Amino acid sequence: MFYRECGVRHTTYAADRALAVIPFERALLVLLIVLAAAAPWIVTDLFLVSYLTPWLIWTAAVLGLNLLMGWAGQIHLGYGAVMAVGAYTAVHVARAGAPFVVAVAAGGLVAAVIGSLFGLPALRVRGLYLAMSTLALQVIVDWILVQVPAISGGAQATLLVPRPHIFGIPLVTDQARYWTAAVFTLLVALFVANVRRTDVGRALIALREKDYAAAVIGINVFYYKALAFFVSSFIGGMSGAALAFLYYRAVTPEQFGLNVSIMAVAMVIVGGLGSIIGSFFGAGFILLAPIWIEHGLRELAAALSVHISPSTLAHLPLVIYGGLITGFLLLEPLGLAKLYDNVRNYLRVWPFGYTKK
Amino acid sequence: MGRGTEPVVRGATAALEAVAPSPAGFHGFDAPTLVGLVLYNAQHFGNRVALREKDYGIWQEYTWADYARHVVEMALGLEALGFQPGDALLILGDNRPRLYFGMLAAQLLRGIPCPMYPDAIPAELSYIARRVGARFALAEDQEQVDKFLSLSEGAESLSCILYDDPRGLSMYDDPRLISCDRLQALGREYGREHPGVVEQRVGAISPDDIAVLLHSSGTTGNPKGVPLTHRQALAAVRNAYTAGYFGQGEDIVAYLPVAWVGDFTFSVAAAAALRFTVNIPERQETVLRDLREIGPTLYFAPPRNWDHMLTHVQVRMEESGRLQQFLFKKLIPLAVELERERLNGRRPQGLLGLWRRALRWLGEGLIYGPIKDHLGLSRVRHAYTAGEAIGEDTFLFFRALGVNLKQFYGQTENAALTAAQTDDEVKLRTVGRPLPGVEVRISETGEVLLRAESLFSGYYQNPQATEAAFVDGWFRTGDAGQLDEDGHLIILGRVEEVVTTATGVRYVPQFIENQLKFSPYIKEAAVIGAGKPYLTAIICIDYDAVGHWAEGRGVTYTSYADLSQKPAVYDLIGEVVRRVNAQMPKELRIRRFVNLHKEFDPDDGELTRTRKLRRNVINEHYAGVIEALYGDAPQVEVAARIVYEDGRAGVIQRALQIRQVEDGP
Amino acid sequence: MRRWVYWVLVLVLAAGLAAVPALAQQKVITFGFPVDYTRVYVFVAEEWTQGMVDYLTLMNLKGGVGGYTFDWRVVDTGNEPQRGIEAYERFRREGATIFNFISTPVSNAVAPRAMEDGVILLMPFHGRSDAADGQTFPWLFSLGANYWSQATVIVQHILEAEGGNLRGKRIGLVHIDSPFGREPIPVLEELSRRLGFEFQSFAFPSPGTEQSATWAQVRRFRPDWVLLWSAGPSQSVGVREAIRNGFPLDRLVSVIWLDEKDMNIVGAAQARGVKRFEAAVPGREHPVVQEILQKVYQEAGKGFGKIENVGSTYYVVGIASVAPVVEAVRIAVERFGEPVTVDKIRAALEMVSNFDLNGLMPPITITPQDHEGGGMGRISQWDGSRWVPVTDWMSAFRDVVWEMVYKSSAQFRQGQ
Repeated sequence: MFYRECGVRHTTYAADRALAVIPFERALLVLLIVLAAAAPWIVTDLFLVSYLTPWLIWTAAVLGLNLLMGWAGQIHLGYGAVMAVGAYTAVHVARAGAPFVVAVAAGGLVAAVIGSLFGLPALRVRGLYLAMSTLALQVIVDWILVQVPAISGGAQATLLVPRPHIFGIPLVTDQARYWTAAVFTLLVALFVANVRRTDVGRALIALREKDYAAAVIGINVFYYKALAFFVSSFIGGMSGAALAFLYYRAVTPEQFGLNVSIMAVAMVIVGGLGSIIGSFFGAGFILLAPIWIEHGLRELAAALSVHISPSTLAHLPLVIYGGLITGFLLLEPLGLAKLYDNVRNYLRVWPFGYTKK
Repeated sequence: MGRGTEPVVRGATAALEAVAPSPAGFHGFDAPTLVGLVLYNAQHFGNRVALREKDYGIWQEYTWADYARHVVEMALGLEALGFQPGDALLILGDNRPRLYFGMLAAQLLRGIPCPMYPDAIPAELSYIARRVGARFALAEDQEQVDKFLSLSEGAESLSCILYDDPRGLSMYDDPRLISCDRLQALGREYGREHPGVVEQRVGAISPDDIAVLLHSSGTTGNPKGVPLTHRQALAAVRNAYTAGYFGQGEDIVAYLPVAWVGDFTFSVAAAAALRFTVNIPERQETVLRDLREIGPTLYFAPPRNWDHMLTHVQVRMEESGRLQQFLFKKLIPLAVELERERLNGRRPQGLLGLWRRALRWLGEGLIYGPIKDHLGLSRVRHAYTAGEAIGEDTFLFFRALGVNLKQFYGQTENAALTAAQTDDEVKLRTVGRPLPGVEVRISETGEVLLRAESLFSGYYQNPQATEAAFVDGWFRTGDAGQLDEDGHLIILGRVEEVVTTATGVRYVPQFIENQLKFSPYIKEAAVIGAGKPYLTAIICIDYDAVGHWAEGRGVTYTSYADLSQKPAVYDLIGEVVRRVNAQMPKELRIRRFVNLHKEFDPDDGELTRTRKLRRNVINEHYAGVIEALYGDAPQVEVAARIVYEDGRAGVIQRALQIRQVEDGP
Repeated sequence: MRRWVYWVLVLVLAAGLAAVPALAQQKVITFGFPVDYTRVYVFVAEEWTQGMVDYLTLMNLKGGVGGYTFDWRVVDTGNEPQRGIEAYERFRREGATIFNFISTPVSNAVAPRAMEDGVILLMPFHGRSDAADGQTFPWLFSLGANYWSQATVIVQHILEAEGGNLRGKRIGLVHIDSPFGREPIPVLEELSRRLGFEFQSFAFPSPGTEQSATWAQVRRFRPDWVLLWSAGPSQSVGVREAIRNGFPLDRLVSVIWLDEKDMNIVGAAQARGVKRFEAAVPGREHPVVQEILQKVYQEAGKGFGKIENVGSTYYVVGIASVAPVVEAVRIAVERFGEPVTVDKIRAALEMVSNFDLNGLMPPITITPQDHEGGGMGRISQWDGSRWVPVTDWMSAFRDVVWEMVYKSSAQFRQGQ
């Protein structure tokens, strides 16, 4: 309905492969970016601090994991550990006096090195075996964080994050942190979107479909697998650092535990493997749905004057949340991105039922 | 791009400079020749896009500077190969930039470009090639080259076959074959060796030189050559522009055959004079999709295409969701009703009117706009149809969507543009007023007569036909028509098509056939009745529409022939015939009809290339069927001769049902 | 089925988004209790929260304190820092000024915000042990013996039980392998240097449902005393391992996290003799608990949870962790007058002196320097059906504890 495509023609291949070619989508994208920039004046600061900021940063992390899982087809159960490496490195570098941007980049770099080191088994093993070796990364990092107070911040295992500065401007307000997170996520999203369109992206997709076949058509499997782990871990490390600086303000090992790794994988799968918009949806759903479901139920119970014991009220959302995830995946195994795509196609072919070539 | 040709262009436009020293206030159609216009555009609007062709997945653009360069290079190449003034250049193929360049290149050398229908069979080619004594031919691709090569016996005069697309031709060793790339290389060389030759050639062209030699479709007998001069073509553009029929710089689609006069007038003459951007679809099969990408501002399609688009929309709506169908069924009739009232001069009044206008506005967002967008019509400022009468349903549907669809009327002899509906005066039954600069008169016998600057001066090397076509300086169109009280022209049919039955009733079969064909289920129909006691019809069902209808009702079928003979399909078609009969006087009602087991086919000679019926051929092919229609038998055996792809011929026996829909007196 | 999923989602999310912050009421002190009902702290969260809320309800039923009544917000965090922060930010905007998360990771994650925002964060028996340092952490309040203090109290008990001399004795620490489990190690090492006992720690991996390998090592060490340092399900596993290895249970002393439920899992009779650190008096005999049972449960019917929980070990810990705050509100009204602000409550908390809620808890005295309140506790022993105190309220080796506190808080300040 809103997707008007008449007169959309391309005279160059660059235009033909642009990120958004339909005018409506381009307008939508601009609108979203404007809304995102203006969010501090639109939404309450609670919304900004508690939902938008973590959601955006998590989206960046999920984009990184999606690059590995969705495009290169490599499973990773230790992504939380990768983020932890990034976060702890960045915090320590910043405590040593480095500027925020340098600290985040350093976090990304160290995470990338360690992440691709543990990704090396992927060159030989696949599937469940790779899941085990990435799980090892998680266990080892968890263990180190617990065992080495010098890294984790003393007996309390809490490391205070220095206040970030960008080009000398301290990021003290919630708004400043939000904007920084938004720009960071936008950059990551743009990067991943562009990776998808390059030869690297295509090589990764070939790898995902079948690495032998990819090797046969001349793709250097070793190189691209290692590259996928490196880039994905780099993004993961930076996201971990961003989470520490812009959201948590103090890092503890629990913030990057195994459950967090599994959460990240859930975000990718629920959102949709290999989808950028799906990464946004997946991160949002997994992160925010439990909270909103709980609040929703609480309000519902209050509105209906039904007394539910606090313990039941705490467990009920888990049931609904689990049911929703199962329901969504039954409804559309390809994730929320596919659901969005269905709606988009519905509107694109509107008022017809399908496209006819 | 224009490197090396710029001095050429500058010199060549010297003649035009005298007419129009600056582009301000200068109208292209006031220029003397089309070639001159192209060169003029190249100089003043060199960076504007003249042509777009979808190739390798994207729209490859040619600016006016590119256009001129290609024309000049091809012309010089032709001259290097011995092309003389007066030589004909046969042009055969789908719309491709090179074919248009070739046309203008021939004009530049005062030659005669002679475009032909791409599905023309060798016999037709051979006839025309012999008539014009062609030595040069320009073919689109291997398929068309093969046709020229197969002409060797009848057209041994053909000394040079140029081709655009080299695919599949590398192994051909006929010495007459030359690729266009090679031709242009020759041209560049020739230009270097003969400086100033382009200026000389441009200076030599006269406005009364033949700009194109077209062939009338010829519903009877062999085609007649219709030469149009530069002056005539540009006069036609002027007439249309003055009537607000064309604007400056329109985006148009070139998808109809190059050999059709409309394509010449739109894509060559008007394009050069008014600087249109001509968009060429990738292939004939992709026209609909490419149309959406182009989003033309001016779009012409014959009624058949509009009908097809409407059928396409209806079929797809039937497969759509319930919500969409609900909105479609609510909003389309409303818009059609509003449009009908508007054309009848009534405006919606009062509260109800306000409500309906609000719905119309809502519908624009929900249904009309999206449908126009899917069809590629949302940017259309002028949409036209011509050639035959258009069904009222189809016409109103598109106007209701907000497409400014109008009918015009014209013939090859008058560069396609004789009369047209104007924006504020669209009457359903008329084709509009004669264009400014065109005089129309109705003869005593009811025939439409013309006089105009855009009118041709006589058939090509055919004095007898020319003699017969003119009376007192007026051109006889051969159409039966009348002028209404507002001066609008009403076309009834062909003069020679007026037929008399055995009982002395006069009628125009085409008129009844069109009424039948307005149903989406009927693709072709032939009404029989000349010299017979009553009227009958041979009907070709529309395979897509009826097939889809059948699927929806669980009627199984295996082929066109099988489907056509289903009793349910007979019921369906019978209902259509009954509805048409209801609007006719008693003696003009169709009493019996038969569903044919195949469609009428131009390859069998049953239709012209423009899909007009050849009645004599049909009468001959289906003599047995016609006889049965006037008998009592409920069915008739036909022997269908079919030719397999490997050339073998066979005969299939088939029984066709005959259905009675109207009792005798 | 498809529609169903959509509708539930839409309904629930809409209701969640529509959740409008409650109107700010007059003269109300609001507590935020975003606790972990579903993951790690399940064993304690329900009773603890019930104790806190019931006590506040009792105060409201009695007309409030100094004209002020109490309100509270409870929500599940699933022990996730991210959800804790969300609840914190939400409740704070709804007027909550005093928080208790009953979760170390969540408390620690929220602490920087609370200190920035000027919100009181209660960390009794969880969170940062160095929160005792009121100078460094003006907004954090331990309000009870931290793990270092608990270790010293337990060692003091052992010292007394061994007749004042630990030279040559062997003390083992069986702990979960986490920062919490390792927390007492430096204190015990320091004490072993001072008192001359031999000390060794034995870690078992989280979640601690499998400890046999660890206990095999313990056995080789042949300890005279064993300290049990874990929480939740692993505690009963530890006691059972001790029984299996023939370790005398009256020489097994647990950190605060051991309650009746654990004993029943082990077997109430078999577990007889086990000792633990205790920070409040369990049971229903205490007048405050009696009052709650009568007024809140029987008369008003406003009990926050199951009546069976009333008086349990963690229930009374809940009472003990809000009672000093209520006392502080009373002081604030008295000393600073209305309106009572969070700053006044904070200042008043630092004036709470020798407060023991009629003996339900050890007397605590909070000062601007000491947010722990003295670090007192006692040792009680399981007699097969209930916990019997074997010592008085006491504290010991305060210098060792404070050394640890200052060392840790100094590290924290470094990062600031």
